[in-house]
Amino acid sequence: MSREGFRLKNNEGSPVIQQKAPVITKEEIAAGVFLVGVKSPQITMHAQPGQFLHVRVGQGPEPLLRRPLSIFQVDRKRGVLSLLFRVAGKGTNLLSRRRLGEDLDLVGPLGQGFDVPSGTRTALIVAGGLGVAPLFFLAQDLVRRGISIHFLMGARCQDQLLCRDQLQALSSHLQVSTDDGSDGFPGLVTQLLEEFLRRENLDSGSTLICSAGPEAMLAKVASLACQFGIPGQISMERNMACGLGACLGCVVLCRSRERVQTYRRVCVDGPVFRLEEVVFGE
Amino acid sequence: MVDLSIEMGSLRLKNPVLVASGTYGWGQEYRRLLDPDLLGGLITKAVTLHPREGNPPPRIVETSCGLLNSIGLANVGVEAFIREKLPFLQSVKTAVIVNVAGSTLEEYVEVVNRLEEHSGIDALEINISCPNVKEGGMIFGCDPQSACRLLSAVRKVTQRFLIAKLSPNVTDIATIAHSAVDAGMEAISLINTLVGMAIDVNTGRPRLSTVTGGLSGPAIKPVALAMVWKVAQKVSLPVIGVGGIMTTEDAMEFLLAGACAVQVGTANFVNPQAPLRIIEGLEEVCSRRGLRSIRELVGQVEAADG
Ligand SMILES: Cc1cc2nc3c(=O)[nH]c(=O)nc-3n(C[C@H](O)[C@H](O)[C@H](O)COP(=O)(O)OP(=O)(O)OC[C@H]3O[C@@H](n4cnc5c(N)ncnc54)[C@H](O)[C@@H]3O)c2cc1C
Ligand SMILES: Cc1cc2nc3c(=O)[nH]c(=O)nc-3n(C[C@H](O)[C@H](O)[C@H](O)COP(=O)(O)O)c2cc1C
Ligand code: FES
Repeated sequence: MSREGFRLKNNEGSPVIQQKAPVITKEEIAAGVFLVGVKSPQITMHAQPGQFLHVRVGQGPEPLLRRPLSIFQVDRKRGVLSLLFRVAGKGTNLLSRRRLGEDLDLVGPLGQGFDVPSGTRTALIVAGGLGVAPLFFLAQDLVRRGISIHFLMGARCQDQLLCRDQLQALSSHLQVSTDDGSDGFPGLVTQLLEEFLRRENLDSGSTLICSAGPEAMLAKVASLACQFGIPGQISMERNMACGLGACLGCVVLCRSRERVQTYRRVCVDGPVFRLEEVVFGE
Repeated sequence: MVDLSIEMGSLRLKNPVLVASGTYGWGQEYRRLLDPDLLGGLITKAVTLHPREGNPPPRIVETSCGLLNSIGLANVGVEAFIREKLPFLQSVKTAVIVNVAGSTLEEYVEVVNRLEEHSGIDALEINISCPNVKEGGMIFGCDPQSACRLLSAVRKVTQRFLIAKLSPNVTDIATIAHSAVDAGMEAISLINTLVGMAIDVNTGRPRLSTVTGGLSGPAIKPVALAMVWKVAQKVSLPVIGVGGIMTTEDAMEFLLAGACAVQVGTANFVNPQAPLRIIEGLEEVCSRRGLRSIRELVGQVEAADG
């Protein structure tokens, strides 16, 4: 339900665009993971890190609904934005089969992205699996703003550590973990985070944790951040219908500053929430 | 020039394409993608007496050519509606219809009462058909006597144009439609969603938190069409058709079956331009066929009475 009092950043006035945009690049960068570039100068111009697009994957009534995908990267000069996605079912499968030159029907940019306060000097970015999708754009943006970043990335196995070289080029502080121990720290990325928080004496006033990935991982990130007193923001996922705040289909349970529990919409109140807002394990 | 306007008793619509309750929020959510003034009318999310948080997630699941939802009448409540949502609706230049729901007869009456003194509302759509709340809506819509009692009670407290929104989850839709006539309703909209269910075979659990939900979208169109046709045959009130309308052709089918107007619901999620495409499409079809008014299409299906 809409409670307008405690949104992160008010971008009610910013444009939302629906347009057909041609696919101009497509690459399978890891098994079942695709990087697709589309030309859309208008959406690219307004996109902020953490925002997403609502993508019509097919043409007929099956699958019916659009699919939400994070904005992975923007090239404002060329008016190109890219999407990074894993084939998770029939919608993303169809999307992965769209050919170069074909138009994609897009609605966006949507949602509240990351809102990094001006006093932030260090960002601790924690990505699990495809969670790197909204975080890459953020990392680029922060580096440009002169904020130092530490990027922690976890995946099932080595070849699912996505965009590693680009991240390495962006920040010398990249640490990786794999569930099967095939690369980097053997274990969960949240264990890496916990070690990091114990080792470094981070200043809570100038540090921000930004995270995206599976919900169980985000819950752990939230509890660690709370334990070490570091503020943070996380990107949540829900199945969506309208993507515009109208249907109330995409809610997560949240608590307000007054600790009142209420449902909030991932598509317009999020997808990025302050981590103390989200009530996990409902 | 084709005349797209529709008159249903005292309610005049500039064209026959409305947007359906629960799929268009409070009207403002889509305003950056579609000018609401172009719509034939705008129907709000259900308004109840008290704010409702709604059901726990997951609330939506996609099924073959359809969508199952269990939103649970989540809404801000009538007072916040008046304060926060009505001002925008008062500013749009199209018919505004407020969808009203409740768990008791008294609640429906009270919501209608509180809306009485406020301008900018052209009609009320009384929702006796929500499948997603235990106590609410549908119990009134499934039994002709309670439907009649509820709708008559609402009729007593307002002069506003009243539409009854019926549930398809009944044995005989025509009997319920007759109660709406008896209760003094001025139009009937149908259908609301059909009760449906989906199971995740990997976990063995239902995909919706409420186990069952309401099915909408193209999957339900033939059901909706049959019910609209049946009711339009049997009842003298204007019928507003809703259920799975995605295209101009879909809308035409409903008009031919006897609907005076249509509502576009789930299609808004798929393509926010859908209502506009349909309005343009209807105009084009009429001019191609040399019709002066869209009203010439209504009820023209060539079928023996059902
Ligand atoms: C704001 C937002 C941003 C997202 N960004 C990305 C991204 O950048 N890259 C990416 O690969 N994925 C992203 N996702 C998830 C992506 O939307 C889903 O993977 C996709 O919708 C699945 O569609 P499908 O038809 O392929 O699978 P389906 O056949 O619909 O489902 C396959 C499986 O995926 C699950 N699923 C479906 N939709 C979602 C969803 N929205 N969130 C989580 N699980 C889901 C289903 O429950 C099922 O288990 C994002 C989701 C949200 C809400
Ligand atoms: C997410 C969602 C929420 C809905 N909420 C309401 C509601 O509050 N009141 C109501 O009368 N109908 C509600 N409906 C039903 C629609 O108005 C419509 O009757 C139904 O979806 C069939 O039309 P469609 O197939 O075009 O969507 C809702 C439907 C959906 C999909
Ligand atoms: S998807 Fe409709 S409100 Fe978020």
